[in-house]
Amino acid sequence: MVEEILRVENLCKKFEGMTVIDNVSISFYRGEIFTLMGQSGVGKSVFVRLILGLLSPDSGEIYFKDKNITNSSDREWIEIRKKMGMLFQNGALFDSLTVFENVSFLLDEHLKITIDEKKERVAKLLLEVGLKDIESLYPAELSGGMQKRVALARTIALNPEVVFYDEPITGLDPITASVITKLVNELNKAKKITSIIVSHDVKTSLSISDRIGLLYNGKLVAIEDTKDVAKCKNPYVDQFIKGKLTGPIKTVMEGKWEEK
Amino acid sequence: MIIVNLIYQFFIVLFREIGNFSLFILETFKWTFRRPFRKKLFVEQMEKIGIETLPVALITSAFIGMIFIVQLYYSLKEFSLESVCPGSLGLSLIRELAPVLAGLVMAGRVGAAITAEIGTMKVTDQIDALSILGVNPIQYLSVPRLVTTALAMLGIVILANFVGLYGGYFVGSFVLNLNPRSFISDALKDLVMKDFFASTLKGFIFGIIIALVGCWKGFNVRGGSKGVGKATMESVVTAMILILGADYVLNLVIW
Ligand SMILES: Nc1ncnc2c1ncn2[C@@H]1O[C@H](COP(=O)(O)OP(=O)(O)OP(=O)(O)O)[C@@H](O)[C@H]1O
Ligand SMILES: [Mg+2]
Repeated sequence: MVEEILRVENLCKKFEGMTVIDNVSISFYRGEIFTLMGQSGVGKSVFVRLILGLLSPDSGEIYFKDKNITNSSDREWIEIRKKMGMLFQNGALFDSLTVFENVSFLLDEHLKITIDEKKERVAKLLLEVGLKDIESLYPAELSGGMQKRVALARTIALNPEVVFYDEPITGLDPITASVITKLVNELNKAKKITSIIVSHDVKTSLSISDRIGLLYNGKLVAIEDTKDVAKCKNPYVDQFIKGKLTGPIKTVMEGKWEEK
Repeated sequence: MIIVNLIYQFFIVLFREIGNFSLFILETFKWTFRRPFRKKLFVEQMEKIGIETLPVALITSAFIGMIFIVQLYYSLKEFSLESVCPGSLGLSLIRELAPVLAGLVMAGRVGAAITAEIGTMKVTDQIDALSILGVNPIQYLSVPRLVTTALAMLGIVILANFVGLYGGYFVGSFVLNLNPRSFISDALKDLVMKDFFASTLKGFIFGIIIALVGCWKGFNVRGGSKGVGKATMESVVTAMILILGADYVLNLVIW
């Protein structure tokens, strides 16, 4: 039984005349791992930001649990975002706050709990991402992989229902990447977190995702179950997965600065 | 034609900027009066803005008093009008020099710091992270900076008035041959309550300008760390121009 948790209908977004997201519609299901793939600069991050209300769409609707959230007020967004999290590409930890303050940020803002309870919960969250006794450090004192883990701990502090991961393993060494991938998978299974991942890494994506989507030229040109990908006939998917130079995806990037 | 087009473009950009800035100001004021009130952030900013900038603002103001009295003395001595030196110093210092110079110094010190900090947060996605964590970035970042900068400026101007006056007093009585006994009372004798009030009001308003411009420029940074540097410079220049403009308008309104 699949329950829809998030739905996007006819989403469009332009930047200064350049169409980045062109009439995209898709549903996400509770508990799944969905990976959005596509070349660099194709608009994956913009797509995620639109869903989370960090950018406002030119047209189109976004439904969260069947409620239209597209034009929510500031206050409504605050409530919605308690249920959605996002792991930013670089972690986006608050660099003037310690690890403890970063991880307890959501607890401080949205719960009334004692300092002892808070300490306990922060330690538990850090343990869940495989870290210990680093509460008093500042983000600048951590490695990139550790920063990502702390950011993950901060994201899941209030048990969100949906978490977006923007390129969670890009730029990490293979072992750290495996660790993060494993964490994403574990959180999805243990906490039933619907996970929407933006990634270029075909192998990892195919191994952990239930479905993948391919964004090209502003459109979702493919949505496939991972188990069907091997025998999938979609030329875009075939080209992207195998990294071929020929196919429907153009390899020469056209910038808007080019002379017409 | 190119010139006309350039001027046209310039005004389009100018009006768009003014529009955006006005919206930002409204938004900041709106969030100033909303819950929650995060005391910790205000205390933090108070320490940063008030305490860290007080020395430089006061040193500047002491020197202004010291330099200005010398200038006054040598200009007025030619007409044997040395006796009006303290009075002139008092008037110009309290009405103009102390608030305006404190404002300009703070624009360089605090305005730049605010833009650099918020701009850095912007380019490293920390502002978006705030939103995602269910916190309004304007409320979390702008409001504490606005309130504390305005209050700090108010306090700094009051202190700067005194420090400037005593700077003038020391130079006037020990270096130049002005009467130390009557210096301070002479300096204050032409001033009325309104002048002191206007002086602090100016400081308060300049503080608001510095913080709003600083935050706005920070939130609108684009283009990585280079963008942060550019925005910081723009923040200082914009705040300085707006302070001088506001000073002019306030002078028309008050006197
Ligand atoms: N705020 C913005 N203003 C103007 N243009 C933007 C803005 N944000 C993104 N763009 C443009 O939208 C396009 C898509 O950017 P986006 O960051 O979504 O790409 P991406 O698919 O996430 O790429 P990458 O894999 O490199 O992260 C780019 O051409 C970018 O220049
Ligand atoms: Mg991206």
